[in-house]
Amino acid sequence: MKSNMPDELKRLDQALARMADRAREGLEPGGEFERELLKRIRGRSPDARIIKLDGEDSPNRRGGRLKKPVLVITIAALAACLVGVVGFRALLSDPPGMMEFRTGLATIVRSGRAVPPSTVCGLRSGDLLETREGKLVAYFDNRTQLLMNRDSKVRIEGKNAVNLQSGEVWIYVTPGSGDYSVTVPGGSVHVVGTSFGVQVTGEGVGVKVTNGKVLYRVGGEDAGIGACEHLFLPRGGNLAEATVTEDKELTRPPLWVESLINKMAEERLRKFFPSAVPIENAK
Amino acid sequence: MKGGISGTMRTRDLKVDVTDLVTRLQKGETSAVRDMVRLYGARIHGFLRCLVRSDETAEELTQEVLIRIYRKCGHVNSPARFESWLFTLARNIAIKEMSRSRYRKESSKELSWFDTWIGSENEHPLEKISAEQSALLLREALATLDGKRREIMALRYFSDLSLKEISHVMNIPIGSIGTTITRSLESLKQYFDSRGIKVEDLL
Repeated sequence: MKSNMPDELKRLDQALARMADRAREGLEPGGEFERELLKRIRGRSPDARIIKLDGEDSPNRRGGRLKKPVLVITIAALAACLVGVVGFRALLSDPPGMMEFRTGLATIVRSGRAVPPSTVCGLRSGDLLETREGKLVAYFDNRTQLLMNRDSKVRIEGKNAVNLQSGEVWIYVTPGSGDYSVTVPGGSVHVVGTSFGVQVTGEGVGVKVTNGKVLYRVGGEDAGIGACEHLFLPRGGNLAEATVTEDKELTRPPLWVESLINKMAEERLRKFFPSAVPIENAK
Repeated sequence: MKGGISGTMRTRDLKVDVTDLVTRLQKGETSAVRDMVRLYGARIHGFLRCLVRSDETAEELTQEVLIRIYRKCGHVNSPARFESWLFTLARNIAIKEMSRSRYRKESSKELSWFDTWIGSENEHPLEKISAEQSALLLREALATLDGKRREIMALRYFSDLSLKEISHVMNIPIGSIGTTITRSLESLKQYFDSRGIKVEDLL
């Protein structure tokens, strides 16, 4: 078999082996991985005897056997830890949503560390999504779709809550999926089944609604915004200062939303039917 | 690589006596766990990452595999079969994970290696290629292969196993493994050709 392989394939084999070697350098687990593993091994072990430091016996061991009360307490503590760890991990491992599509540059900050979006699928509570020159679409478990415009910052607070720190988002909430809220500086927007956009700028907060109705809550007071209405609240102001204008053309989302949805659809089409040509090019 | 068809030798950074490692693991020594992570962590992760297509899932599964190795290494009778045994374990865990609905939901989310390159300032796609991009490009190429072939090639490149060991893990005759590798290399060559990447660029 060795001699039958053409030279070109042998060289490719060598090249791939070298690439894998380089890739492994990048995958070498660090201290955190090792610490987490040790923690999990200790937390899971059904037998307290394996909890032992390098080259020394545990102080609770005598002649290789554990004292009975210590054994019971240890097993109870381990069981409690296990329940806690499993519960906590289940909580963490249940991502409220996932990044569905992205164009251009976007960052996800998780536990204070920027994570390349190419390596992230599930979004977790606490993640900070930041688009610079890019745009992003996130999809949540309750079928809510969040579209982020350029230069926007959003923190995920759960499957039905986000915090818009700056920039602009457009949200499609499926009717019947429960309440959905967007926290903005000085207030929050609450909806049940609608499509709407929220914009935070240096001048204030703007809310545009194309379908349904949303409530804008500031300091315990609510203002209702219906379809084809645009509310603007100056920065630091109260609801009495808010202006609501009717915009009959507000039956469709802004152009950037439509363009992002089209791009996403095009990308999916290309993925499933690589030979498909976009309609505009076909003309 | 031991028994490899290319004739090249891949060196392993760590030389740990497997019998000694297994004995120390059975005793519960923390240093043995560290050696296990250093010796097998990246290899298992690399292999699993080719199958599950998400870094997080691969990392979780790698931990799962290492924990099981730690707990079950007492069952290993022949140290010579230790690596085949642990990669069989890794493969079984990956197969179980892949059959779960969560995997299906995540499976198509990885961005293309070319997407990351298009966003970079490099003129040539393989200029200053990072370890992460190397991994991504190789995974992307392997993803074009069907299930069995992908597993075999992932075991070959990421897990650094010999043909005999791959044969044990996959439960396929060694001759078939060699044929599959040759066929897979032909497919991969076509893939790289279609993307305008020459073998020389990869070397």
